[in-house]
Amino acid sequence: MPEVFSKNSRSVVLEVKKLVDEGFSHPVWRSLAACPSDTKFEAQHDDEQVLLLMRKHPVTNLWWIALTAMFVGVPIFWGEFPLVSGVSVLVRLSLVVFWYLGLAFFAIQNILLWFYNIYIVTDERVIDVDFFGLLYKNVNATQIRKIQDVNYSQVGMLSSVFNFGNVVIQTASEQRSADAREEASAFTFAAVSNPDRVAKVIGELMEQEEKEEYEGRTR
Amino acid sequence: MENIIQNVSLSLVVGLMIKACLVILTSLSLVMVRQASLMDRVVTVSVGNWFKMVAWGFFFVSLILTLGIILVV
Repeated sequence: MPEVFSKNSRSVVLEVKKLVDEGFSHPVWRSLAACPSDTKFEAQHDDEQVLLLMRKHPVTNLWWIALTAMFVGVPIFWGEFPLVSGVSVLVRLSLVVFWYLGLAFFAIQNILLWFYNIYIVTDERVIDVDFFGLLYKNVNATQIRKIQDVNYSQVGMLSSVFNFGNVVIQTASEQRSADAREEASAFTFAAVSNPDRVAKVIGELMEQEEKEEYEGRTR
Repeated sequence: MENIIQNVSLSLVVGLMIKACLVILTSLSLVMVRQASLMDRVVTVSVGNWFKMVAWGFFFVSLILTLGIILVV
């Protein structure tokens, strides 16, 4: 059993334990993982325990999967275009190679961005890791005790059917980061699975921090 | 005859453009290898190595095909 169950307050333990019992701990590439094993992040404290690891719901990948599937068949038809039909066979072959390499690059890039754009809730902090394209990353982190409010929203048919939504975490210093152009907060967990349960865990962690602060046990 | 010359010219131009694009794509795939490594450093998960291998694999395939096309076409 993960170490966190003997460390934190009863309410958080129960909520996270429920998620673990329901099979949310494995595998690590699912959109919501509770107490994922073998998961570490940059600047993690020695005694810091990852409670939740989240990424966007797999359904949000449908647009690029559909686009890739659509473009896979394009070389079959492009012989009809005068520009392509006018070139030699070897050049046409190299065009096909370039096309499929480009598609593979597009697909791998999107898989990487989906997999590593993650949101982490630990027993001390919440962390929002965002990668934009190949060359830019943005990491936001705040302590649980600095969170003022947490709420979630589910908008649209897909989010209702597949049960995903945005969890918005408001902090005292409302910094605006590059990823927050269209988001309600710098800490917006976009399109995560079971947003209600994520918000519940964060809410319980906030209560726990308040209790510890009141009792003078703040780390 | 003029038509043949025109076709050859078109092939040459398109071939050069494809070679340039392939070189750019190979360079980008090398950047992707680096980025996959950095991503894995930011968040270390058990399947991170697999992603790094995929990125490296894509880079090598891209490099071999680019070199082949540059030399042959």
